[in-house]
Amino acid sequence: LDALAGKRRRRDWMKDIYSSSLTPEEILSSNPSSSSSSKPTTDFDDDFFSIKKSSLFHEGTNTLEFADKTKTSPDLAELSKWEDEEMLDSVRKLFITADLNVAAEGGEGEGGDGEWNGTGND
Amino acid sequence: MVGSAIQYSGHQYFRHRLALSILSGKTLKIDKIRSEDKNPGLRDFEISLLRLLEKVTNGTVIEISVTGTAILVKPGIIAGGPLVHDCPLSRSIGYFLEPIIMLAPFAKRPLQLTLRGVTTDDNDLSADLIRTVTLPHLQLFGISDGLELQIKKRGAPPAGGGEVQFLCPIVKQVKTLNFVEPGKIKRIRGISHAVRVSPQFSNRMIEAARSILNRYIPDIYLYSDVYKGDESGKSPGYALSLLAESTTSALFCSEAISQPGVAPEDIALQATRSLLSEISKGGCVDQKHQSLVLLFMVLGSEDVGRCRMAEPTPRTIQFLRDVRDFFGTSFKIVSAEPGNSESTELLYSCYGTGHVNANRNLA
Repeated sequence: LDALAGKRRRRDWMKDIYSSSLTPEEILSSNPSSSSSSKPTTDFDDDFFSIKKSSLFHEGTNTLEFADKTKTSPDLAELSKWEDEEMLDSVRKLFITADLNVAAEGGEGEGGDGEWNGTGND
Repeated sequence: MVGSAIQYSGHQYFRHRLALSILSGKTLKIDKIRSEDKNPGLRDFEISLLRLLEKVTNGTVIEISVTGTAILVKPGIIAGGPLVHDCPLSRSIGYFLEPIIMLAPFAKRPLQLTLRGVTTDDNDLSADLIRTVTLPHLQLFGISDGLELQIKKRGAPPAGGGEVQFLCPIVKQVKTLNFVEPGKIKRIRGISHAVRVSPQFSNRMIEAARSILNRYIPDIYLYSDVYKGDESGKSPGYALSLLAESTTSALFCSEAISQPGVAPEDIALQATRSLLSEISKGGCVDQKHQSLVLLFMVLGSEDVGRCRMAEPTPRTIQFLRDVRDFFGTSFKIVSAEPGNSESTELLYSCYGTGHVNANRNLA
């Protein structure tokens, strides 16, 4: 398990960004090697005016029209994670109020909300 | 001159390539702009952006091919001064303002730009986020006195009718950034606005956002921004913009805007969850502002600038590649916490090019 996590961490961003020819989307997708092999075989050329599909167009016509967006459209699956109470608690450590918890563990006994335990390890 | 042109294909990443071309003074060629599309070539908002850049600069030559699928830009100097531009309604003013913010500090004269159009939409940063989040990022680089964005009128899509004024001071050189301590979130602010609909919608959004956020910190202030009559634009709409600030002034932001058939509460929850998602990614700069911060790091004085951020977005990856094409600068990107295998945060560092605002001295 540790090796797996280490593998993820050791990802060489500089190599991926500066010395590979993958598109940014391919770099960010978890297994970049498979994307090139899974390309569909070429369609039959029966349409004279066939709309050519290339990597630029894989995101659909909407992106084609409104390219160069700063805000990404909300990933609903990603957002629905936050309906879960545990998920909401997982970011508590990033707020200053988490310091109260550290202080409480240190023996001040102040504001000892039971649910805050376990989030104080820096 | 054309021999040294930097060449790209496709319509993507149009804005930062134009900005990089003007800042570096290098000629830019882009071909195959939607050449495979049923409706090929540049869109109205892209042409409008080129026109705006012509106004902001002096001596820029822009050639567009007959079919509109290729352009050639020979950049001039950034002039600044008082300007007015009407933005097409297909994109919000954020689309136009974002590249202008990259250029304005290096102008000959302080820029006073009035933009008219849509102030908030789904694609780009809204006027509210630019005012409260983007502009404070410039302060990290020593651009602060006289930096202002006033929202004079709001304009919701599709009819717009909004108006903003952007004031930007000029600098000789930007400071080197050293921002590696993310700190902890100490306050949350928000702007909730509703135009041409019941003002109650704004309060409903605030209540829904508070139902999630109140558990974290007490310092939450969500402001209901009221615009009436002529100042509220031509179309109905509402939106919630949220930002979280850390003890070290790291800013995270999110936004959700009204959609037909969706209750204001759901819009507010979407904005709130996006904010938490952004906060959970960590770093000192949120993902929407990665490119802007990286650009000013490249332009900084000849010293090593460092910034801790989350993983790059696709836009950021392409931006890093394009920066190398124009300025020859590549970033060192390593894990921010080499000892912690769960951390996905990265430390970006680069050696500044020592970009000096030469336009300013010509006055």
